[in-house]
Amino acid sequence: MKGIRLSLFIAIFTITICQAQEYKASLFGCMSDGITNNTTSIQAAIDYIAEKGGGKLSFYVGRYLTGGLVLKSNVTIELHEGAILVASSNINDYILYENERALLFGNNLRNVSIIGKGVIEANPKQYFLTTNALKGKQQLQADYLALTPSLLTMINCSNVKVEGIIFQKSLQNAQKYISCNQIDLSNQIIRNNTIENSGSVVFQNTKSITLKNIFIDAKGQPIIKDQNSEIIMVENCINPKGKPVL
Amino acid sequence: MVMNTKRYIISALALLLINFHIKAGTTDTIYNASLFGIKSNGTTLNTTSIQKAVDYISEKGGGTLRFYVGRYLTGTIELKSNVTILLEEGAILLGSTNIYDYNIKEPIPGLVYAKGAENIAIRGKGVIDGQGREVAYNLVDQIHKGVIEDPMKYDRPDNKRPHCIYFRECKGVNIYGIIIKNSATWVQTYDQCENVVVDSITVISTAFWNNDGIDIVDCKNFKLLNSYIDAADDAICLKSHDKTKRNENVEIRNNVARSSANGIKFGTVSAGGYKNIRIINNKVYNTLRSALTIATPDGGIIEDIFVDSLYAYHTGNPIYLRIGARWNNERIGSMKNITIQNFYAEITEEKPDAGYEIEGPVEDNPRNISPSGIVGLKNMLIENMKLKNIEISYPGNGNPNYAYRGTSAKALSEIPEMETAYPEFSQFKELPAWGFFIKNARNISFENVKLIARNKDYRTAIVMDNVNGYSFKNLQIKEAGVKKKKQMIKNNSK
Amino acid sequence: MKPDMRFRRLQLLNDKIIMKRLLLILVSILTTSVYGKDYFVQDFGVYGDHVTLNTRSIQTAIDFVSKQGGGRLIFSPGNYVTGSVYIKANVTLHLEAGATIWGSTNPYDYIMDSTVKWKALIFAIKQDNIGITGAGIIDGRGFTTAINTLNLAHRGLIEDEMKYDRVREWKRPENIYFRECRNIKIEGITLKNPASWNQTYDQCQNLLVDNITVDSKSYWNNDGIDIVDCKDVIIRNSYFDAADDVLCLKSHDATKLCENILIENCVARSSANGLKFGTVSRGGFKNVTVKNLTVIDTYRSAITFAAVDGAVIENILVDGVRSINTGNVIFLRIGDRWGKGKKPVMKNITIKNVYAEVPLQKPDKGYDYEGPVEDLPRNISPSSIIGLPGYNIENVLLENIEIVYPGGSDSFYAYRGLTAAELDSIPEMPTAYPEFSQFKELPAWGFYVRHAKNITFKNVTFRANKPDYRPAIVSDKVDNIEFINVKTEEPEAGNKQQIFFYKSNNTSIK
Repeated sequence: MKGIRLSLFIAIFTITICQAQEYKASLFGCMSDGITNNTTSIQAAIDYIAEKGGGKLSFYVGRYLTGGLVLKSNVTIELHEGAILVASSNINDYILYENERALLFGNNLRNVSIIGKGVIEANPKQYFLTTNALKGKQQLQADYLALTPSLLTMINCSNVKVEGIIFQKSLQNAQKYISCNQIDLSNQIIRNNTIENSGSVVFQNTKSITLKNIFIDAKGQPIIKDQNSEIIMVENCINPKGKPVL
Repeated sequence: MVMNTKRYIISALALLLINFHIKAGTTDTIYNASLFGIKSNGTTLNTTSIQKAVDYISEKGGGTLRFYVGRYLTGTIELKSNVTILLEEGAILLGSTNIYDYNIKEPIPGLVYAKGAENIAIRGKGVIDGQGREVAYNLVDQIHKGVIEDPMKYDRPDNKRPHCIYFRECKGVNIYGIIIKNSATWVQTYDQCENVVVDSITVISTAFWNNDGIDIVDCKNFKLLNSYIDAADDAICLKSHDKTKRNENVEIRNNVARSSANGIKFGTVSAGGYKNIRIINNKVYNTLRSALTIATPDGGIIEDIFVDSLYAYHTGNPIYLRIGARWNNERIGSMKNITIQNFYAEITEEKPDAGYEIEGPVEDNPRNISPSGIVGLKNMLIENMKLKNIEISYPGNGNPNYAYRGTSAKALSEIPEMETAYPEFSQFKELPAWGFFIKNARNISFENVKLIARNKDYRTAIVMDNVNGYSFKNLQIKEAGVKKKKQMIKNNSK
Repeated sequence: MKPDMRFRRLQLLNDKIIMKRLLLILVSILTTSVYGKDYFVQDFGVYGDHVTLNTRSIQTAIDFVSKQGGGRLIFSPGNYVTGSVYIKANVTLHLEAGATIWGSTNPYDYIMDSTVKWKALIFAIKQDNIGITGAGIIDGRGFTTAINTLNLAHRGLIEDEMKYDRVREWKRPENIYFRECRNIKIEGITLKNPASWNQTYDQCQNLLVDNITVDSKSYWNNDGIDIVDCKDVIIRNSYFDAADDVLCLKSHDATKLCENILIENCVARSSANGLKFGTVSRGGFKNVTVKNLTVIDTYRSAITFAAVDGAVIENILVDGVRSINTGNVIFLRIGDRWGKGKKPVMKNITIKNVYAEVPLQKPDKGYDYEGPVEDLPRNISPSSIIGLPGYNIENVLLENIEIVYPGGSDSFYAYRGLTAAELDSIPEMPTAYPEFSQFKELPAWGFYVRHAKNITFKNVTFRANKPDYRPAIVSDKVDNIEFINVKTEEPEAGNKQQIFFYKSNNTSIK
């Protein structure tokens, strides 16, 4: 009897998950041409979906150029195979959140997923070229220019799932989790990270982390974790030499 | 003997001249566009004026409609028999960005459209600019507003995107010299046409998805010569949509192709087949997928294919030959008598089309750099394949920790058949060879073939599985940093 | 002393006071803007390549310059694409000749400001000592943005009632919206193609608009310049071409008003009105001087003063107007629309030295976003001063005025006679939108006055090019109206009575 109830509960639960409405990026005028800066359109989409109680924003094959985006609770971003979120190479396109700068930024959220076989990438060559040029102009302060955005930063978030995504050519850290809880990372490829003193995945004061099937081919440290962070499960997380990264 | 030859040449020349004169005398009346009130300001929509001009000229027995420098905005124009559109240098036939300005009630709409016309031409140094990205996004808008219905596969319109040129069942077609840009879908399609010459054109189309450079569909006596094609999707593409028809006597010579998909491709849709196709002295560069793909997943019969002097630089894959069983309704396609000679390819590790607009997609990973593939089906082998004077340089660097495929009989048997899948060199993900993977084939001969891996690779150069009859003459394999390594693995082959 | 002399003196005195005050403002604006360093946008990662969306980079630069104590942020020649940015205190955007700021065509790139509840390309909210100067261009690309906004509304992504099948004004971006700012200098620039009104200065003080060019006819509601409840304003030496009202003074707040304003040496072209007070007119308009105004090819009135929402309009001097090919010359109107019991007032108005030609044909024909053809029939309308019962328009002096009308009205087409019944049939329309044509056929061809007090016409000539079935002037329920040296010229008029009084007291013709 209990079993039936439980399975009924699971069935209902899965149905509600499945019912989460899908919104395609083109609905909001997002352009997959790699040139159009889609920041405000994607942000409008995330805000709109969050206001409607949550759902999924789907990107299909194409290159979607964007600056910094603020994630919202209950909004899933799905990057289908061939879809690429391309991070802008202009530092000003990233909002400063106290001491953080990120392409995808989440603060105090619940139930956030980034899933799919797509890619999140930056262009370090172009980014550092333009940023160093700005340094040379000696107008904007050095500390403003020094803070390089990560591809994904989450602070105080719980129930976060990042599954299947390829993170490549990150500018600093690919993913950063600060004071988060229930972080589930799986089937990821992190590669072409060219920054020496970076970490591909950084955990600070983060609990209940599960890591599964993650391939990290990057300079710097693959995973940086402080003492207050707690990984509860690791499975098949390796570097190019086939060695476990933890 | 000498005299005879000379006389032959002279009489042939005379015949040509007479022909030319007859043609000129009967059809070559030139009408300037302004005669019909066609405006060159770039904002006046000229559709009906241009159509009137074409109809008028055709009714008068034919002639040339000449556009001088200017921007001529228009929707669909249907070209009629014996009419030549002459775009002088600086003249731009500019596609309207309003989707309703196109013949979207037809199964396939086009900016310049012709059906069943004879003796038609588009010539000159001018431009056809489809403004395809704007057209496509305006169509997307109409779909999101619910005015037009469309499944929006991959979040882009499935139907109704206009070609720059769509000719169907036309005879005697000449496209010469023009520049074709920015299509909303395939750039130009010649479907079931006969006696077509496309010569010295330039195609630059990275405006939107599915921008094939040129599609030759079920045509007879087709020549594509001296052209430059830069396309977001397949650059030079032969297709067969009708199982009762096929491409026959096609010559592709002296072209340069750049693509975010394949350089030269047979398929994907390949219902009828291809016979006597000659691909001579072409170059492919900065191309994401294969320099040459020959695929028959839909029951098409491929035979007598001759590829000579194909040079590929900075591409993702050299050659991919594939029989599949996708939309074939029980008919199984076949592929035989393929000769590829004087072929040179440099394969790159980074993304070859990086930086182009509408870059090809990064696919599901992991996979090390793929080898050339010759992959038939268990019950339908690729037959009589000759490779002669080949040099291919691969990056190597295959890392077993990233992606691994072994070469034991069991491991090879685990490579899926994927006969119903879309045929693409990368479709099997990791393959166990870095140079050539040959499976389900008969009578394969390699002569003067040189395979180079610029870095060490965990895989062997050549893997053959179920190959019935092969010969290797003067095979050279060079893998950096490796002295003794078994570079060929044969399974179930003799 | 005669009443007209009384208010004329008052007027002149006021005029002098305004001028002195405005001169002081001018000095203060000019001196404050001299201070500060020059900064160049390219030093902040802003690209003039016509492609890069620079919103956040420009904002970074503005914030930086403001924090450094202010200065000019210089745009070198180039094409700068951006969404909404906010100018901060002590910052002047300086556009060099050849520099164009292009508004993004993506509606999501514009901010709906939480204070003003409106979208704009360049905002300034509660900032002092700011400006936009130079010989460059701001091009809103408003047509495309407006259409893209409409598309979002059709997709259900923004909610809008879509009045007239267009998205409401405040959801389309203006080029400039400044609110509660002081010491503002707008000089030299060209403002083009907004998606809504062009530039609004709302509750600002010390504003100088000098030598600007406005090309504003890319979409509906493209006003030229909107001055809303501002104090101490000079607009001069500028050219305006707009689809909607050009020089437009508004009063949105019943507790505020437009005060001490000088408009001089301006040229206006409009598919609505040249100089307009209103339509929204809650607080009022006081001490306004307009000098040397040229109006051409304008669909409605060269001058419209409307107090329809409880506004107080007083001490207004218009001196020097040349109005050519313009549908109507003067329209003064009291209405009672959204006043909520606030009493509308219009008094002490002087309009002098006017030459005007009114055409028979539509004067804005051929311009983009031509004004709408209205419900007909109606013969060419006269200039008019029309109050409401109980709300007279008071103390109006019209001096040295010559107006040429086409005449040739057709009484079979539209007719309003001079019998008591016919004149009383002219509706009062207190709650209607104020427009010179709102009453359809009026019974005069030159000037119609109703519900007014102390009206003087001095040295005024009305000329009709063809015979008209109507008299030149009708005075209807007017108290104390005086005609000094008023001439009418109409072909084949003979002994036609050109000035007709109905229920009017203390009338005199000299």
